[in-house]
Amino acid sequence: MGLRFHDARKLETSQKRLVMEVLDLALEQLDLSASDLEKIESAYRGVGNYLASCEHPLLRDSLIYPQGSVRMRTSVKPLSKEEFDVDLILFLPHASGASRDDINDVVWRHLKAHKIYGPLTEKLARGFRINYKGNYHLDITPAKEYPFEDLPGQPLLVVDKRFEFKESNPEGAAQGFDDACRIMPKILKRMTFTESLEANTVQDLPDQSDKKPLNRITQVIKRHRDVWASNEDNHFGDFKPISVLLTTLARLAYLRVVNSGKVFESEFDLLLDVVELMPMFIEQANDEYRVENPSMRQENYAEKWNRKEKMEGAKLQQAFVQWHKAAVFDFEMIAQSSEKGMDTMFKTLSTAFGERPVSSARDRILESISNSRDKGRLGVVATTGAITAAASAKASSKPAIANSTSTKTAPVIPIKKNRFYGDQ
Amino acid sequence: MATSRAKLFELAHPDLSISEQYLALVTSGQGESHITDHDRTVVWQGVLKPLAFSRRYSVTVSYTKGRSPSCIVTNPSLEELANGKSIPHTYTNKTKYKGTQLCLYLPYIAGKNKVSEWNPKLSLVETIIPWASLWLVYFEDWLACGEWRGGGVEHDPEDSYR
Repeated sequence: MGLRFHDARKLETSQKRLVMEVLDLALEQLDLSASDLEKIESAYRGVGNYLASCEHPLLRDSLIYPQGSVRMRTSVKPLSKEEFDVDLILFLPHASGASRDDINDVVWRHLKAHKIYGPLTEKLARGFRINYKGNYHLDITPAKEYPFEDLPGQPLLVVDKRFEFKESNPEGAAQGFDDACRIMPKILKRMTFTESLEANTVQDLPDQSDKKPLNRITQVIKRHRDVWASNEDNHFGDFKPISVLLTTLARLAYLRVVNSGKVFESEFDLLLDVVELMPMFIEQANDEYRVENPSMRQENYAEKWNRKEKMEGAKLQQAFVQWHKAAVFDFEMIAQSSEKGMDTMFKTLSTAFGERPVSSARDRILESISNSRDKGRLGVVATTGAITAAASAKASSKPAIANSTSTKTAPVIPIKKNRFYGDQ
Repeated sequence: MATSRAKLFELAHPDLSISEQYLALVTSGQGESHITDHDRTVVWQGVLKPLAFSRRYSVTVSYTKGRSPSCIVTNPSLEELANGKSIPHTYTNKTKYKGTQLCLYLPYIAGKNKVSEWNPKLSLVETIIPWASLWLVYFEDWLACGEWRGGGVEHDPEDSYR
């Protein structure tokens, strides 16, 4: 059952590493920078301080904190026309007895009364949005204590348009996600193509620990979803799978494969496993779809899939199926370009992940080749003509890392300086 | 004095013969080589795949003693891949091999470049073939972005080169 990868599995290790490297460099472009994060943090802290300072018993000791992708470090900058989404919880410790309408009313009134926030504040199904147009928006969900059970993180009752209050535990989910990120997969570690070109010696492995594989894989999946949904002829675009659902499925799939003890040839194989297994973790019982928050069973991220009105649920569920099909298809397409040129590979990746970040990854790789060439550190594997790092005579007696189809013993010929010419 | 120093250098670094070029090509373990034209020409034919997703390019290198080596990509058709655009850093192909002739190094150009980057003391295995791989890297990049980012020297129609 389920969709399986075929051609993508059959790629050579060097090809898998290269695809993953391009994805990595592309997603790096879509990461929030430290200064983006700082700006966002100071923005929501400002709102939090303001609300906590308001003289109202419900707002006393209130606390604002991020949930979702900003919290889990899985943010992906949106396609150019959209604003960046910052999801926040406004926790009200003294609101246990208050009704939803009381809470909403108090928060709304105080936000509207503020000189800056007032004109920017709009109502949402779950709380309020302060919209810094063209930049980002802060989505603030008021919440009160969940008194029934002690759970990891912070179990909450959040205001909800339909249900008055709904159970939610974003902090528990985020902690669980962090824990999963810390479980590192066993990957046969080799340097990436550009690392091998840039490293002075084979031993010089740069520290890559800042971004964990699960963070990156989640970003890849979310970015694919964004580009897929923005496709003009995609009828399911408006029903695209929500981030928390994809993140949770990715996390569960990741844990399953990593905990199996499998040793991965490359991070790309891990990505394929995760994408392949994601649908397996959608539960279906009594005609109901469930993707539970592992830190709070009552919170069902697929809840909307069960809505009957206007077939909304069916469309959402179908949209997931269509997205997943597209993801499998796109990676297969990339694999099928393995003999069709780097240009074709980049084009295929651009279709799936967007032109801008992929061309910037392409630039980065070319730059690395040209820099090594300028320094006289480029070589070719004699048997295949594959570009690789020339073994630096004085730096190391070890053979250079061949990135290609070659056997490891194939001699590497350093490339002498040259300038291209021609009569046309 | 100058003449004798040049002569000494010549003795220490003699031009490689066709059979020496042939031997180096054969021992590289890549492609197929043969000698033709009454032992005056060596021809190498092989496949280059410079990067992990590159095409497999069939390449012919032909070198006749006393002339510049030529390097032709015979398959796939670079012209077709270029889709009507003129490919940078190529020569008008006057060889008997059908395909695109690459220009891989700066030759002697009267009044411009005194020393050719290739000379008969250099082996084809260590120059022309690696340069062809590198050229193909920049070619695929050119296909992707429309810009030649491999550097080089622009041809001037006035140039007299050999």
